[in-house]
Amino acid sequence: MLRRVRLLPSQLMKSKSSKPPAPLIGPEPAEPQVGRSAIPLWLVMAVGVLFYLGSMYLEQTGGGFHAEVFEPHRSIKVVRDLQPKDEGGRLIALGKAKYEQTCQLCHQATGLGVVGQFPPLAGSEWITTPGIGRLTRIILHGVSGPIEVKGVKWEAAMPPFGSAFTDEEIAAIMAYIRTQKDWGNSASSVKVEDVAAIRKATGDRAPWTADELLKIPESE
Amino acid sequence: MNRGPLIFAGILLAMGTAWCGLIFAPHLQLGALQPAPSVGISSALYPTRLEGRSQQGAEVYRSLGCAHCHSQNVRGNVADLSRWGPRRTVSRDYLYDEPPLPGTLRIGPDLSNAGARQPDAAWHLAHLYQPRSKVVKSLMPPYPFLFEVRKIGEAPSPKALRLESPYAPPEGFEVVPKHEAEVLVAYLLDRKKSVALFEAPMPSSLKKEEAGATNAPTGAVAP
Repeated sequence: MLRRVRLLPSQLMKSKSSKPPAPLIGPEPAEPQVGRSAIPLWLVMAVGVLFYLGSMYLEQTGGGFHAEVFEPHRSIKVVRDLQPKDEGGRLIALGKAKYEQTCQLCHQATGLGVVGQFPPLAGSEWITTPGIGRLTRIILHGVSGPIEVKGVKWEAAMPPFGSAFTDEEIAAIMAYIRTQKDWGNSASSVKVEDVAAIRKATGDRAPWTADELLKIPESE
Repeated sequence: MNRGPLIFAGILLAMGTAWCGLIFAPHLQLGALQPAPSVGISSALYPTRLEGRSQQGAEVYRSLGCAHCHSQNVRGNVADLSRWGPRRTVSRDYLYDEPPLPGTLRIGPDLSNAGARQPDAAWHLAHLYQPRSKVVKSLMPPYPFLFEVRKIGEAPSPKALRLESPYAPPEGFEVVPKHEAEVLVAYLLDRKKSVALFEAPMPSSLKKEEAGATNAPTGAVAP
């Protein structure tokens, strides 16, 4: 501790020794200043490695900073490729939305309907006919009375949806339920003109009965 | 501190870069976001404003703090997509939410598609009154104050919940939802992200295991 104590000259003079005392302390060390020592090399390298890794990450997952590219897509090109290209894909997407808005309340997301109330669409012979004549009529005007679906007898009371949907929307709903693979349905897609033609031919009428519908050929 | 200005400039640069990257650039890109034509549905713009009852329900959702336990944000990974929604949520989904309530925690299930997963209003009402009447192992607190337990008058109310023992009210009483419960359920039934957008196409390869499932991933009782 002594070496840190500064003695005043008057105190030094009081020393009994004849020799002049050796200085107890050196000059005061300089105040530390920024920028006087070199940046350590390892720090420069570590920052460089981090910067490199960061830029790699941005390059891979940044999507080119495009506002319409979201995880998990990697670039705007990937997003463009994922858009439904053909008319069928567009119709099915529209049909799925319309099905979830309206049809799903009774026929359920699974297409299995509700036992004793609403017949199933999944695997139903009324849905997967080669032609769309019967199905279009059911959606346009409804169906009432006894009807057999997948070997089970139902008392149908489906309301008409002809005024609720456009031809395009009806075609879309049919395209969706006929091709829904999760339900095991794999019939052909639908053309909007066919729906328009059937709507024109049948006009406005009361709900169909199963017997009337069965008279229409399957392939129409 | 003989380099004060330099240090100040360095801090300003760091903060300014972060501000530009996190606030300014996103605002330039997304600040003028508008509803867009949804893919496949040529005529409809998405999103639309909530209709009146759902809007009231959004306020109830907010005031009850539902967002503390429920997120409304489906991420783009397979785990999220297979459980919570047909597609990931994007900025446009929150366009009309004031305020947006994406949530930070998932103590309960994500609710982005609650209305599509469980479209039955009676299920939601009974679940709000007593979650364990529908989901046996539910951690959700019951919200009985959204309902009125009252003596059955001349005729039972058509709105009365159909509850089974041990959650049923005493003999001669009925549980009737208050306005708050009804609008909250209207809001929940509106939680659907079934519309594809350009920036959020429907993933086609994903297996839909959860089709028709209830609102909870495990321990659920079908309605």
